[in-house]
Amino acid sequence: MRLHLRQSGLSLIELMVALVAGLLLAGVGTSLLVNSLSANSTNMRYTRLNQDLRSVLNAMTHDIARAGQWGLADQIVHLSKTTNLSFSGDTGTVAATGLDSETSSTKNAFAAPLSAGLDDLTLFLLPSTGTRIDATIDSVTDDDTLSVTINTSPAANPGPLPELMVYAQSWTVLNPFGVVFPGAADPDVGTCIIVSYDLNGDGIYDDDDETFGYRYDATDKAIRISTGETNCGSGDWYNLTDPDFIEIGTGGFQVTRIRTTATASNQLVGSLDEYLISITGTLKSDSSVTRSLSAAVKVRNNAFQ
Amino acid sequence: MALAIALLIVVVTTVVTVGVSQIGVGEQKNMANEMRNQEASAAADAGIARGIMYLSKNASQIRQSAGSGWMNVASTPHWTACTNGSTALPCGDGTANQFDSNWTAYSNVPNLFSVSDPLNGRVTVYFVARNGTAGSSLPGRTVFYILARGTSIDGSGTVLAKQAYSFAPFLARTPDAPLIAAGTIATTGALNVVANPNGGGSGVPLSSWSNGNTNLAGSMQTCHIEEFLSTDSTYSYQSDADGNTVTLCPACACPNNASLQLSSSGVEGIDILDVDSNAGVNPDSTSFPADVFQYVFGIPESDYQKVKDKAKLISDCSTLGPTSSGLYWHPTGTGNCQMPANINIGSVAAPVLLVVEDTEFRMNNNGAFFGLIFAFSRTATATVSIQGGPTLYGSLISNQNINLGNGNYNARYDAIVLENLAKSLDNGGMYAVPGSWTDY
Repeated sequence: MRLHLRQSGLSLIELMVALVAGLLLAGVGTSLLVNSLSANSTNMRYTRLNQDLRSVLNAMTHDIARAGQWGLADQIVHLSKTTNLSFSGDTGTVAATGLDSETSSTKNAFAAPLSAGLDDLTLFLLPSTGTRIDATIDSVTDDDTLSVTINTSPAANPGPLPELMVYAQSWTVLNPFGVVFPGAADPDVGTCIIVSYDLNGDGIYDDDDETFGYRYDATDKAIRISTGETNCGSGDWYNLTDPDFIEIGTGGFQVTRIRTTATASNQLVGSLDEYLISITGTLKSDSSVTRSLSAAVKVRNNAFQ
Repeated sequence: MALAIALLIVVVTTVVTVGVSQIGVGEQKNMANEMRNQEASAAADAGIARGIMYLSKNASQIRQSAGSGWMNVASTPHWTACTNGSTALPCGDGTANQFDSNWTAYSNVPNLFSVSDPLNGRVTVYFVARNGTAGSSLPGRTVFYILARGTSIDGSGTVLAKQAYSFAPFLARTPDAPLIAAGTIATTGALNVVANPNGGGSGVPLSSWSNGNTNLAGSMQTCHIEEFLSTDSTYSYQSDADGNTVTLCPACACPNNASLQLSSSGVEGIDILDVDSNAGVNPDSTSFPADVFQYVFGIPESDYQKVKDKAKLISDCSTLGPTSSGLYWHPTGTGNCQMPANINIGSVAAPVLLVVEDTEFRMNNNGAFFGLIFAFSRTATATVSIQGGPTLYGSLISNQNINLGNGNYNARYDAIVLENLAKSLDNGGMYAVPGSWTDY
């Protein structure tokens, strides 16, 4: 028996219904996709804003905490405690010989690593008269002797030395590392901070690699960074935040110093410094998205001056 | 077809969402890592803080080689020298050597946190000290590093921080002469002064240094230690931990032979540095310290309270004895400071620094005083009255006048005693070395 099946396609009505339903579905799907993409991209921008600002804050807190770290700090303290300095003269450029405070004999006081790290540093002297005198270390002549130039007036703390022997614990060498913090109108609030620390631990202040600066740039509305610059207003500074992406408004980058000073006349001036950093960034693409971060960081290596 | 489109859209949306959420998760991880780093940093800082307290508390044990002293190889733990190539903590950082053979390490510091403390088990503390010369004993004037390794709560983050500390001795320097006064010095009794052989520079003796006239009267004489010890042969000896020995001779005196003396009554020799219109051998002193308190303590007189705060206050000086050591302060308003009769105060190894504030220091016996006496006139006059035949091994300093009355008194400058006093870790307190903190 032959069976004749009648074949028939979709009717026009059916086709149109299916087409409309399909288009609707595609439209809904596409709009879902677009929405989701846009939501995701907003999400990504938020995340990046957050991340960018936090990485700035993080880098700054670590750098500021380390500011003033000096690989020779402990050696200088140890040397100062155990060594008398005998000078060949009381003024001008003289030789200073390091003598053991107990035996009064030479002891290779300035052998390496000190021999490489003392050039051009300031020698702080407190003779028994109690009046501070500063000198500059020109060079380390040999392991026992420094060539130093005693300050003359009008430089700060001028000589001549009242006595040719400065005893152990009455002298030190000032730390070349530290913080440069130029204040604006108010000396304790600024938009720039430069710190230096002994990154490779060799004791020598290598300003090209061991100085780190952060400042606000009003033109780009960005936070800028530098390595090796000691001046906030000049040199090579690079944007750390992307000005096409984040806008740091005026006042959006602020560093505040909280300083507790302990001073003693004619002696070294010490202070305890803490810095408050606040950063506020706005998305360039959506000015309604703003993120503010702040942190407080204590300088662990406050140096005496 | 519609299904395919729908599927495609679903797949694309899912991929994008997953991708973005990965970034979000990355951000979370990032924050968590920073958090762990901060936890570990805080733990390491806490370790350093506890480490200082532990060092301060054990100041008397640090250089001690007897009993439970940290120099005693029989006690555990004890100081052990670092070697040049050592990379293990604390001499190294795990990969490279940090402290060479000039340093000595004290590992296995006991757990400094109580069991209930959240930091318990998360902090390890080590001490490393600068050793004068490789292999020698730990010097008094050393520098300590406190190393602390802190871990985060989950144990995955570690920070190794270190900070150098040093003991601040209460004596700024060993004084230059056995008698130092910011005013005048007057003698009437039988006073024998043994000069500081190098007080006026290498080989130049110094017996008295004053910013006023030193009036040598009575039967006063000054001499070198060799001549002093030649007048009697009844010696006894006292040593310190570094092997230095001081010869004690209570019956010795400066010889009555002018050629063996440096100065005597009415004769101002090279060892008397004073201000008296250039009378005597030396011209007037021009370098006398403006602030004698600062000369001795390294702190201006106006800040005297800082020294007083570190001192053991005693209202009754007769409680001092041979085992007393370190810094004592006899405050104003507690009567005179009367030394106990016929016993020694302090010792060669552990001398005494006694500050007598605004009252009279009385020593009326045949004992010995090892160390330094500072007659401190702050608001009233602090005077000195010495009778009998005591011996001072060290230095007598006044920020006013010194009037030494009758008696058969020996003032012997002794560099070993004064050096031990300057090196004493008692009462000194610790200070952080600026510039030494690192966490990398």
